[in-house]
Amino acid sequence: MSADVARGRPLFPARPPRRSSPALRTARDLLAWFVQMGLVYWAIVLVAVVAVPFVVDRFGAVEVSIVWFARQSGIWFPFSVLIGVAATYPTVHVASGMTRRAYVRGALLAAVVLGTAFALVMSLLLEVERAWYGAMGWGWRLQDGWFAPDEGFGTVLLAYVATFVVANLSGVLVGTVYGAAGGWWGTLTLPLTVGPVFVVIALVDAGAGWLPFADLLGAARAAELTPLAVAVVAAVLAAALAVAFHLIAVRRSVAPRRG
Amino acid sequence: MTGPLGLEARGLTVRHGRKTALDAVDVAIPAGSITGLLGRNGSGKTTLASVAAAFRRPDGGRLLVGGEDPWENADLLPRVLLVRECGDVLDTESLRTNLQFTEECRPGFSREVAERLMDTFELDPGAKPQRLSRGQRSAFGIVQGIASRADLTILDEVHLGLDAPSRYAFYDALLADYIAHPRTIVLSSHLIDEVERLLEHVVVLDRGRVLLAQEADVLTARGIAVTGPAREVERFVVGRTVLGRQQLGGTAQATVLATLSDGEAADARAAGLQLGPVPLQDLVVHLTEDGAAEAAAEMGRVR
Repeated sequence: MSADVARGRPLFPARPPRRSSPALRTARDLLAWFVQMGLVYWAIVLVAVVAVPFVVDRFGAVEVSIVWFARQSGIWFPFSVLIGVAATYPTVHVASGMTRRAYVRGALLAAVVLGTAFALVMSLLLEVERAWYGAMGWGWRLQDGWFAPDEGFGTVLLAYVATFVVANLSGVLVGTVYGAAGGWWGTLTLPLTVGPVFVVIALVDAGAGWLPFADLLGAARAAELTPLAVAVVAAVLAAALAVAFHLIAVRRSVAPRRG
Repeated sequence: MTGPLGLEARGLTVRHGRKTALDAVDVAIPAGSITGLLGRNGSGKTTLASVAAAFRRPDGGRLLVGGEDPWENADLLPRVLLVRECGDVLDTESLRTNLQFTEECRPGFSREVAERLMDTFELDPGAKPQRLSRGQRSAFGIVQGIASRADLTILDEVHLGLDAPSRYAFYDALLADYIAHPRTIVLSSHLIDEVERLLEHVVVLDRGRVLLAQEADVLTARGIAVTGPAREVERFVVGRTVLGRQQLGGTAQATVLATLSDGEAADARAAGLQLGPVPLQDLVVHLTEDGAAEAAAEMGRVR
């Protein structure tokens, strides 16, 4: 009996190994690992988005989007996973003969791609939900938010991308600080490392009525320029998180570890 | 460019908080050799290996691998491998996925060696590292360590938890692949008597300093175990550096540093003494005992 038969299937694929750059390899691997968990996440979201309106309809009137509520899970689920990745993966990365710079580039690319993909799926789901509610004769509106449903797909996508990308970058930074500096520093710096996420959520939701752009830009221009202003603020925050992540991650030692 | 990578430290200092793990260490490990990195717990072996593999930066001095600083060196690091006793693997992925990941990162990786060693150690490719026993985790680290064929391969206590047959299978596999594909191998181990036969060069660390750095043959030739009547043994050791003594009833054994002429050896035997080589493990045990610094100096320490 050959070794391969004993194993059930070959240890290695027939093709030769892929020799991409370490940064691209890192991004690809992180995204591939996330896909496994992401599929479960989206399955749960889909069940909730489909089931909840029927339950609400049974006891009352369906008026608000369930997908819009789901954005909170779209923020905090990848955020949590990326904390774990940033806390544990760099050791394996360095032990595999790759530089910390390659890890930083790969992780940043993965965080941005992941946030954008989540934003795209959420935006599409929102549109599908809206059409479905219309077909069912249900009311559809967003519970809160500065963009009206009629403002279009692009505005919704922008709001989601801003929120998810900042949250993902915050996740890798939080995990990196905990991994590099330990529990005390990780916790003490949370206002700085997670604060940007709450800023973007506040800007996008405007649920508390706090939206400074009307004062800054003038009421007349605020509606027109608010998406751009949110994008700029989110970009600045994302850049700050990325720089902080880079500065800490490229200096981080691999901790002694006993089996 | 490939080829065995040597290692050279000059004034290398590393601190863990207030504790100095390596204290101005000067040492060279020759390229293309199997070097034993020996010493007691906390002597600085793992720290030295960690700096070589860019796991951490030194606090002072420098360490060069193949003449280059390994820290963030994208060309050099794929050729440098440190396998730690715990194994630095993707815990939530299968051994199969881990091996494929390693293969993509290591230019010299051999599928054939990996497959053979997975069979030798009877590892299930579908198993996840977090489900493995300590011995199985060690075995998987060995598979990665040998199959990667890195130009500088550092194996730090990788055989912990392995049973004796598996350890000997590891030694045989390491030696066979080293002969077929020469590279620099640094082997850190407490099982000195088992790995002694593999070693060409020995570095002994003690309390963050280099106690000895010599060729293994030269080192073991400097020690003699003398056994016989206690009075004769005491007479023999006068004027010689004694590393250790044992006595049971009227019979004594002493480990001494000496290179005997034929005449001296004949006289000792005529006095009823048995002369024998000193196992490397005994030498290291004696040399790392408190107060043995002078003996180490006599053996040609590099401190």
